[in-house]
Amino acid sequence: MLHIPESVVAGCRRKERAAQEQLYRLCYEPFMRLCLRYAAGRAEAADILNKAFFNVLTRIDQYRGEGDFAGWIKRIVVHAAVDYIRANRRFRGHEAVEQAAEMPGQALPDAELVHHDLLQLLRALPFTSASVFNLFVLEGYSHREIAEMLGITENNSKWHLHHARQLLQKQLKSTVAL
Amino acid sequence: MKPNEEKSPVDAYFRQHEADIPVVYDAEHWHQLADRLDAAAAPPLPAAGPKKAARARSRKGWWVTGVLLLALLALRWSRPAEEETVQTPELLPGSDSVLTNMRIETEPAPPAPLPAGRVNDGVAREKRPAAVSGVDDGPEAPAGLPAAEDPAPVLAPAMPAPADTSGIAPKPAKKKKHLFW
Repeated sequence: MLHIPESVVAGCRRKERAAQEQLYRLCYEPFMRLCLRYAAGRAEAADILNKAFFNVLTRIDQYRGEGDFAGWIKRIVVHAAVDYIRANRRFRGHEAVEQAAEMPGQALPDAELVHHDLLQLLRALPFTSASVFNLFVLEGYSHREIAEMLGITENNSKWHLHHARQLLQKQLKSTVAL
Repeated sequence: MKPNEEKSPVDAYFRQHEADIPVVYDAEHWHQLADRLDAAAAPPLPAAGPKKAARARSRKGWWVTGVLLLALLALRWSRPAEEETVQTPELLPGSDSVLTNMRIETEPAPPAPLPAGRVNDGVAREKRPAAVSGVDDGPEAPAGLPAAEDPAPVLAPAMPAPADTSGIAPKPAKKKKHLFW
């Protein structure tokens, strides 16, 4: 789990730019990775991350010291990602479906299935299915919470998760022993 | 928040390898965020927006006031016209002579009365303005002529005798149709 020193938090409360940069550096790797799973590219992921950290640094007074500070930041980052999903769902939906339809013909060889290919697999999924998969499997939200966040029904969320798993399994079956 | 425990091997695979996605720190991203923070912290410039909006509102106000004024004036002008059209027929019988007398005063003085017995040689006819209507000629008859020598027969061959309007009843005024009285 990410550890953030108390001095850094105190410096951010005092709006010290050095402390803010230190916090950003400490959090960049895990939260940029999270953003990359939702975004279509690196620039978009950085945009989500910066929107989230703008909220973190300007609303740090709302953090009362209860609970983990990194967990508080993660919630804000996930909310920024959800905002991105909601804003882009309509535009990216058709494109992702088209890409997913082409997936069966694009078998990934074993040697090339490295870590960044996980991102490729996720990005090839239909946009909402990938978002639900991320939120449920990797962030740990329930279907009810996901339904509220994305403005869909619980059953719809379950269907998207099932659909995402099916598509991912098809891709991974030939390369990874599942 | 704990990831949802699921038996699907796909979930386990993604949880296992998700942390290995390579990420390299990019200082440019921090600079972008720092710029946003600076912009948010800077005091807002005295915006010309509200003043502009107020000016636009006042302009709009002037437009509205102007249109209302014009409408009021148009209403004011249209009302007297209506009143005149209504009152004119009532005034006509009495005001006919008044109007005629006013016209006489503005017209040039009538020629000197002819001596008794002299035949009109036509000069007077030529001098008479041709546009004078017969209706208005009545009162122009020279008052100095004897009653027996009416100039009308003398002028008869050349031009029709001026009609005497004093005896003619004025045109009946268009009565306003009232439904109940």
